[in-house]
Amino acid sequence: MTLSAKLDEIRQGAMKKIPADKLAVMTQATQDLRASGIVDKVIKVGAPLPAFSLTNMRGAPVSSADLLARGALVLSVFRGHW
Amino acid sequence: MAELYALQSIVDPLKALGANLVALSPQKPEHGLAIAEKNKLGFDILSDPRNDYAATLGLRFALPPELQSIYSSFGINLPLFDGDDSWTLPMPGRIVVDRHGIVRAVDVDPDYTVRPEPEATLDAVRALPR
Repeated sequence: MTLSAKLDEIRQGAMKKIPADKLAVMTQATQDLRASGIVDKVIKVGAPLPAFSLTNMRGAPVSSADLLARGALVLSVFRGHW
Repeated sequence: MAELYALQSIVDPLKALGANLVALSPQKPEHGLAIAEKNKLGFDILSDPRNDYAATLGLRFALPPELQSIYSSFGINLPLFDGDDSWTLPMPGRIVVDRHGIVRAVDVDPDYTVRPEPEATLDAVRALPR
């Protein structure tokens, strides 16, 4: 199953569980975020990746410089475990 | 979690291409550890306090008060999970960077229920000059 098919399943399940009034607020918030123009300010192809120095889940330091010294990098940003 | 689980499927193909994958969220490291162990993830989950790094990528936004109360009603306690009471989140996104540190692909959507296919990310890495 593709990720988008799996996400469709999750979305359908959530839409059944979430009360209509809350779902309406959430849908509106997503529309407002899109309309805010935030996407236009996202980093663009061709730009240098800003350097980072963060910690991983075990508390070990991980930097973009270390990662890029080993090759190309895929950075996947997500919201949380919930 | 469906996304992180799906990303696990491209870890080895990425390594074969000489590329690395890391995930990033505003959560405290302990939550990343729980996810990584539960899903047997072969990549790091980095902790980005206050979404400060996500902000440099243009991904951070503040949740409006009405959304904060809905999330709270679902048990999504961002101040607790993230160790930060700012109620900000990143737009989920996938960024492919070449070995020179230049961004070569960006896939972001304000609708958090939309995530890029891992296979599309793998194709973007395959397309990088070696």
